[in-house]
Amino acid sequence: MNYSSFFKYSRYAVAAALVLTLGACGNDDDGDDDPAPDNSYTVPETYNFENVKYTGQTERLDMLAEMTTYMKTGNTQGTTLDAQILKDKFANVNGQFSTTYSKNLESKTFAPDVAMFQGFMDDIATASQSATPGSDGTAGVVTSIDGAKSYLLNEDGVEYTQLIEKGLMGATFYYQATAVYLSDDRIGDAVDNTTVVPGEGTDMEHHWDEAFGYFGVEKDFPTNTDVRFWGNYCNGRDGVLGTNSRLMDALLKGRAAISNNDKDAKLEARTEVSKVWEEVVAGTAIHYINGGLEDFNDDALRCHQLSEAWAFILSLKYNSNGTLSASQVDALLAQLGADFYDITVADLNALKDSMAATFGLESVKDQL
Amino acid sequence: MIGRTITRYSWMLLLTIAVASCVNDDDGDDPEVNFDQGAMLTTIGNNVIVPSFETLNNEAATLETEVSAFVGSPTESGLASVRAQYIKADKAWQRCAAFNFGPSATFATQSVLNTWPTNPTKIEDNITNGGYNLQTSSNLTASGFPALDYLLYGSAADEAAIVNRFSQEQALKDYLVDVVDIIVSVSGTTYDGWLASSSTNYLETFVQTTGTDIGSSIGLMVNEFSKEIELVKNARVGIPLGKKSLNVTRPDQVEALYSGMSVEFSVENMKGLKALFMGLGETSSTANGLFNYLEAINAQEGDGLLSNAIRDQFDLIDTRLNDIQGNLFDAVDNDFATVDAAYTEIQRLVVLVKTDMTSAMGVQITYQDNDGD
Repeated sequence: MNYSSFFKYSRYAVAAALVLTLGACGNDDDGDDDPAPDNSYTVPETYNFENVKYTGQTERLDMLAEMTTYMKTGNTQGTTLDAQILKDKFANVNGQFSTTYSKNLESKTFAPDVAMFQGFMDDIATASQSATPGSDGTAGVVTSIDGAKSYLLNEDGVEYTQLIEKGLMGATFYYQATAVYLSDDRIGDAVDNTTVVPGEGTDMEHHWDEAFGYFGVEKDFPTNTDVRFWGNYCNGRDGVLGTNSRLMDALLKGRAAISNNDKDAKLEARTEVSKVWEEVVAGTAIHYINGGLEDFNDDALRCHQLSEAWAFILSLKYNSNGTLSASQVDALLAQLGADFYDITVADLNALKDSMAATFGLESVKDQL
Repeated sequence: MIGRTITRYSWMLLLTIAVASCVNDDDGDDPEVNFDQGAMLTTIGNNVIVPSFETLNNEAATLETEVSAFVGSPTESGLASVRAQYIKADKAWQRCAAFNFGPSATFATQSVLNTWPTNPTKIEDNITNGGYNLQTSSNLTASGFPALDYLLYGSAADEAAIVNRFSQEQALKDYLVDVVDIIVSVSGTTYDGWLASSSTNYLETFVQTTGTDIGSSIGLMVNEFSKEIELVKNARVGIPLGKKSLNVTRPDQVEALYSGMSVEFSVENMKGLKALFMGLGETSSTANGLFNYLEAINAQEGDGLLSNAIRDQFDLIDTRLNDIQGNLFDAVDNDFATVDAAYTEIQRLVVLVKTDMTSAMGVQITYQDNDGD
């Protein structure tokens, strides 16, 4: 079975036929398990539910995009970065953005790691002070062999832009979506699913929508592949892992289930969202390890991609239903090490094999 | 609650989707032709790729024997033997360079064997200081064939002086042995990865993964094929010729600076690429490669077949490269026009392959994609 062609075909089939009835293939569900919810409801194809609002999430995505744009100015040799500006953007104080945002990233970031990210902001500023191009042992901007890409790296080849941007995708977006908004505290049966706030739905609906808002896709994803942050990486892995439809379908299923008080389907969808999203995280980490191997002799590309890999591995710790404990994630990070100038093919393969085995990706590890 | 949501979604009943749909899996979106991709992959794998890696493995083993004899008793005739065997082994590698997928991707074989320009300062520092690990990324410019090129041709003024150094310096001998050890090791693991007897058995994966999607054998192979042609165009010829430096030539960037074998190695590299394209091994009589596939899907180029155009372009490049007299280091300055003519033809091949061939086959170029950042 080829995932990508299967999902592609499925989409076309749906678009062409429009109507296929539930259970048309004879897999009829007798529906006698739990008569309470009305399971005649339909899961829609897009996130155009009533009373959906996730403007706070959109703001945070916008803020991280602005932070990243600022950090990438450091990729031009001679441009220095100011750690305080980055920290101000992180906390949204002192008006450092192009527009006025009402939210901030820092307060939604996994609290024990806030200081680590602030430390990275100091470190990127220090690296940007370098008066010379970077190389093994010297911080500065390093350019790829083909001249197409330049990255600000520290003396060990660490690109803090990736650690901060992709790290916050994990510690803020992924953490908030999977560990906070999809927790029992926010969508469990005790949460109000009756009182409708106009424009926001019930509390439970709103919490699910806020998780969706951190995904970084449009409401008609994956038909519409105008994506960013996690949406971009989900789409990037889709060819091998078929993640687009699986993650989006689970998000649609959960919201429809909440709106129809279908508790079993809601919990199934939560499990699926958590699982597929983690597959995107792990698959992307392996993708960048492969990238490090592919561009092993190009300092700029290798260090850039291994910095990406580091941040995606870090992200694995922020899902409360994730496969690995925080200490197991730390062990993987230790295996990758913190000197990307000084790494061996054997090290990278050991890490890749270990991750592929952990996440059930052995059969596709070389294609990611 | 239920009533409200049913009302809310009642319009969507028109859009009901089946949970378990009746659609059957399709065959991918390859061009509809009667062409046996598996047979082509079998021919390329068995007749071209595996024998090429076998040759590399054997030549590397012979190199190790020659080096062992030379360091045991450094003489000028011993140096000549080691040099000759280095050239044979490097040419064997050039024939494998196009197969930079599967085991070669896993073991970063190309980076480990052939990262240039090599760094003589780093090599000499390693020799002086000891305690190096030639497997790390930071030592790629101090190991592999380019380091060998320096050690055997550039480590002293002439043959006598090189032999003299090897006679005097144990650390230099050790370094030569260590460099060759890695060449032998990565050549062996890459070759093994293709064999049915290995746990990887990539040959089986390669033959069975038909289609042209991302991750298919044709998808991988065509990407690496195109990428390697671009490497010849840019790194091997274009950069020394000044194509990336406002036409200021950079002769010190040539592939085999010290031996002056750059052109010969590029010629051999293109032969490996052509063998893959034609699906024709050095010792085989039947051909079944990308050429045949393009022919079967009747891909056109101008007034003729794209398959013929690419084959003929390989032949033209071979002629143009062989027109270059002497070594590339001198030629980029003394005979710019001749080198530029070769460059132009390689550039044409890039277009035929990267644009026309991929489009005809429905293969997506993915090697320049790193998620857009």
